[in-house]
Amino acid sequence: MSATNPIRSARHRYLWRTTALMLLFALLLVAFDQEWLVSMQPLPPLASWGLVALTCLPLFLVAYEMVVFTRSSDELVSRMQVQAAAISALVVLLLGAVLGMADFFDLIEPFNTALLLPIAAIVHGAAGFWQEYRMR
Amino acid sequence: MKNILRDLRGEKGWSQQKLADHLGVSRQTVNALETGKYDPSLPLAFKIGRLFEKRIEEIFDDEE
Repeated sequence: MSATNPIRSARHRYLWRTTALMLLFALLLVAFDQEWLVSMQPLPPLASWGLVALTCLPLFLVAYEMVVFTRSSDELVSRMQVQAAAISALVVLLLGAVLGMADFFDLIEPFNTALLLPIAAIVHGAAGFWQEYRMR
Repeated sequence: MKNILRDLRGEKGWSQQKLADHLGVSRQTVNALETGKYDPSLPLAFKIGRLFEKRIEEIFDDEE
């Protein structure tokens, strides 16, 4: 059996799982923004924390998939993934700082920081593709 | 880093995919090694050396 197949299958698994999890996260955000749930606010603390955990579960699973993919790949792919993760982390930190300061000076509405990880995932994907393009 | 990986592979008559299979890496990694875009880790360099029965410094040249 080709040694490349595990690498290819790991990439395939990573792409479809992270895509599905991000879609699930988006669906949960839309679902929790519905009138019926908003009208129930404020929820009991335990229920609120339960919803927080439920919403963030896909994001934790995305982070887990990122780690699994990085560790299962060959050394070049692994290095490119780590670099892409570093770039996305830097972008998210800078974005968080800019949005935080803009909020501090009342320039924008408070930003939902739950969106930072999806943004990081998008930047991570784009940075990963860019790294692969450079290595072609 | 310059290397003679492409020549060594050519002597064996192997494709990049075949060499990748022997080394347990992706074809993309072999291509990046051959074009000098990527320098291998020490374990991979030793693996390449053992595969072609040469010392690492015979395959890789770190001089500019």
